[in-house]
Amino acid sequence: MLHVPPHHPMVEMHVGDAQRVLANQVYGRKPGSPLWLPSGTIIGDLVAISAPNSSYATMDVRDVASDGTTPAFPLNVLDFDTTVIEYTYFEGFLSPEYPGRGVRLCGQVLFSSATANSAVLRAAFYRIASGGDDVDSAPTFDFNSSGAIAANAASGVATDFTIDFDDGADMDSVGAGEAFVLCLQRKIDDANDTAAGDLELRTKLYLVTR
Amino acid sequence: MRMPDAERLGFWARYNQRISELRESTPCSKQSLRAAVNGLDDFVEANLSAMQAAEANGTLRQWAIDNRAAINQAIPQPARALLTQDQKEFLVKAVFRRNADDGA
Repeated sequence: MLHVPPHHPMVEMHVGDAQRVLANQVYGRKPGSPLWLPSGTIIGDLVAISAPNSSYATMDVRDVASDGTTPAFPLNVLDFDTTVIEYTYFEGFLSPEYPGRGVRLCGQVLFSSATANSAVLRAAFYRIASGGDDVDSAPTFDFNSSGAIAANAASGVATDFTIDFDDGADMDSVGAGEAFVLCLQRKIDDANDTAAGDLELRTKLYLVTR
Repeated sequence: MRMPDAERLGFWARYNQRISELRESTPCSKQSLRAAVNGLDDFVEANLSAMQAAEANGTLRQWAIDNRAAINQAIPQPARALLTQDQKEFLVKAVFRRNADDGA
């Protein structure tokens, strides 16, 4: 068997993802180079929510029904109106192992009333780096949209959604190990945003590699 | 008097909030709900005198029953088929109340 260390130029240029993962495990990585992570690896946790001073999505709970023996329990959700644009902000950081291929925001929604049609969410990063932007200056948000998030035949059935960001300016150049704020809004004027009533965003979001 | 567009918009927004708070299921799109509000407002405006007279006599409910088909026709499709009887009734009452309160 040919013994080629993972930082050998041949490896850098020719091996596939599975081999890179194996190389990481067997040899460790080349100092200074990012760990190779396959698509779908969680690399960011969105840890807290801050509501804006106005036009905020409303905190709400959606009770999961009791089965008769165990009590009902609440799911925390944020209600986004269907006729007025509302916002919420999540704080988070990218893993130091972020490999630099962009990120995918993953989450889940329910609908307050809609049993048909769809909604659209959009999100933008705001990088908060040491020595970076002055938070007293107004940021510029570069929003990316989800596709149509379809309501189900029962409003309490959840639907997954994703929003993709390319590495670099598309995600405000947030880098490995850096903090950020993620702005989220319902895009009520989108052609695919047709669902009546509120969109209920579950408050647990995360980022994965692309 | 017919609601101004901005007021129709506000009425439609409040109706969306109401169904959300009640978690009232609807397969109707928000655009169809908007058309339903507009259609019913036009209907109430066209029949306001008769409705106000019926209300003064305490016969508004009977008037609504007698004119059920016409009220239903005032709601454009697909909302006409998708809204429940209760939802239509609520909308008619709310639009009429708004027009009556406005002193039109």
